[in-house]
Amino acid sequence: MSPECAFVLDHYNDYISGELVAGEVARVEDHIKSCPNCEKFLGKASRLHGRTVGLLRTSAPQTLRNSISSLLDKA
Amino acid sequence: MDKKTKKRLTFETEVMANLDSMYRYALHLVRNTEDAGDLVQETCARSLKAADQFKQGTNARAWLFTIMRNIFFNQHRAKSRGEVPSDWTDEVESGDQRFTGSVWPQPFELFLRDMMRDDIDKAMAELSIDFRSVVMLCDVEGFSYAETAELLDIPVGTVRSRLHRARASMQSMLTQWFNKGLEANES
Ligand SMILES: [Zn+2]
Repeated sequence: MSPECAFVLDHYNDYISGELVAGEVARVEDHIKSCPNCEKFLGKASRLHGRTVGLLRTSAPQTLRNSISSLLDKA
Repeated sequence: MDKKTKKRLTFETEVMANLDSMYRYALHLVRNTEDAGDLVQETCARSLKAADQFKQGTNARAWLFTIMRNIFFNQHRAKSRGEVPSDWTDEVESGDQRFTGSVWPQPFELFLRDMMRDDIDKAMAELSIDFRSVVMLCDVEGFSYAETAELLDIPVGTVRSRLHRARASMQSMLTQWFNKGLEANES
């Protein structure tokens, strides 16, 4: 494995989390332009992450919203 | 206009704006909707009493989450007489290794499309609370590693490694279930 592929593998989670500094982001993004394997890998990881997070984003039930609202009003 | 101060109104706006986040976080801590509702109520009541300590312009959500965590762990401690279940941490190590080294499920598009809320909930339930916490805070609520570390009172490196391992575990579980589903359909 090339050092650049290894870098992507080591850092793709941080890339997805937005935790890389600008230079590291550029390093990942430059590499995937020329490496279809890493591009595919990162694409799948990002999409799985997006889907998972989307499914986990529940809203509070309206009944709870109402009771908190009245709790604040009364206080 | 009643006597509510501007500061108090700001505080109330913050609480209402963060209600979905609080509910999600409560749900991950207590694992059922009824107790989650109670925990949110208690957190709001508690934070209301401490509203004077809230500094405008600081991260209200982090502040509310900290209050919620304290309530949860105090209640939990009261219930279990000071014992934190030891398997929480032990399970993490062994449980996590079970799920490493996975490959992407095929066909990937079908995998994503068929993934259900129930699958994700089931996978989350398999994670220890330490791992679920970082997924909820970093991935769902969008806190940075550093913010999450402060909230959970653990090192940033621990947040990072837990998050990575939690994601890998979930991916692996989801893949296994998806593959089982495919096999079941074929036979
Ligand atoms: Zn590569």
